[in-house]
Amino acid sequence: MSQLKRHFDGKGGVPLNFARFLTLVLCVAAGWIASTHVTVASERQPVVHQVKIEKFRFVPADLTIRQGDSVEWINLDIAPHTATEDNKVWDTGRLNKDQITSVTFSTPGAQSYFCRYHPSMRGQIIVQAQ
Amino acid sequence: MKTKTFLAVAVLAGAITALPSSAQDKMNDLEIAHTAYTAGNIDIRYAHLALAISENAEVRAFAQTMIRDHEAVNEQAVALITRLKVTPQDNGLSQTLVEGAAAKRAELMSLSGKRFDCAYATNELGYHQVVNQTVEKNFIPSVTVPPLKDLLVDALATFKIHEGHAESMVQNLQCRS
Ligand SMILES: [Cu+2]
Repeated sequence: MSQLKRHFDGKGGVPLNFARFLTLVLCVAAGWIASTHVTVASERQPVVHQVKIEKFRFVPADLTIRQGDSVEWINLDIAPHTATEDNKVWDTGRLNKDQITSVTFSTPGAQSYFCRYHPSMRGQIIVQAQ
Repeated sequence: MKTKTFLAVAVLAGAITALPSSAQDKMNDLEIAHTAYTAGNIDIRYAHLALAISENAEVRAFAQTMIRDHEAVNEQAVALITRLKVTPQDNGLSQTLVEGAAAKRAELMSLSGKRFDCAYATNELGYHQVVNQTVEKNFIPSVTVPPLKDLLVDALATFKIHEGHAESMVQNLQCRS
C-alpha cells in the first residue's frame, strides 16, 4: 500500500486522494468479509450426530439433520455391520465391534440406507437445507 | 444323556423341535462353551462349501455373512476363554454335531445348481433353528459364568437374524415348488 501511495504522490494531489479512497474501500471490504464470516459461523456450527448399531438395529432408525452435519455410526454388536446408502452413494464400510465411522451430508434430501451384510437392517437420514 | 440324544436325533433328522426345558443332565460351562464354538465352526464349514459350489448371488452373500458373523462370535469366545484361562471340554453333544455335519456335508457335496442351493438353504434354516433352541432353552439358563452368559445372549441375537435370513432365502429360492 505504501509503494502504491508513493507512486501516486509523485504525480500530484489527486492520486493521493485516490489512494486514500482505495485504502478506505479495501478496509471496509476486509471488515465486511470478516463480519460475514463471523455471522455465518455463529449462525450454526455443523453437528455430529450418532447412530448406534445395536442388536441388529440402527438406533435411531430415522434421523433428521441439517445440511453440513455429520453422522457417526458405532457398532455395538459382535457381528460386523455396514451403513450403506441404498444406491451405494455413501458407505461406512465394514464396522467391527466398537468401530466408528462418520459420513458428512452436504446434499439436502431423504437418504435411505441398509446393512450390506444384513439387508433387513434399514435406516433413514433426512437432511434439511441450511 | 436324554438331552444329547434328543438333540442328536433332531439334528440328524433335520427336525425342527424345541428341546425339553427340563433337560436332565445339564452341561457344565466348559462343555457349553465347546459346543457353542463347535456349532459356529460347523456353520462356517457349510458356508465355505456353499462358496465353492453355489453360483446363486443370494446364497453366496448369505454364506459370506455366515463366515463373517460366526468368525466374529468365535473370536470373542476365544478372547473370553483366554481371559478366563480355561479350556473348553469336548462332549457328547459336540461330537454328535460334528458327526451330523460330516454326513450333511457329504450329502451337499454330491449336489449342484438349484438342488444344492435348496439343500444348503433348508439345512441352514433347520440348523439355526435347532441350535437357537438349544442355546436359548438350555445353554443360557444353565451357564453360570456371567461373561459367558453375555456372550451366548449376543451370539443368540446374531443366530436368530441368520435364522430369519435363511427363512427368506428358502422362500426366495422357491424350493418347495
Ligand atoms: Cu448388519
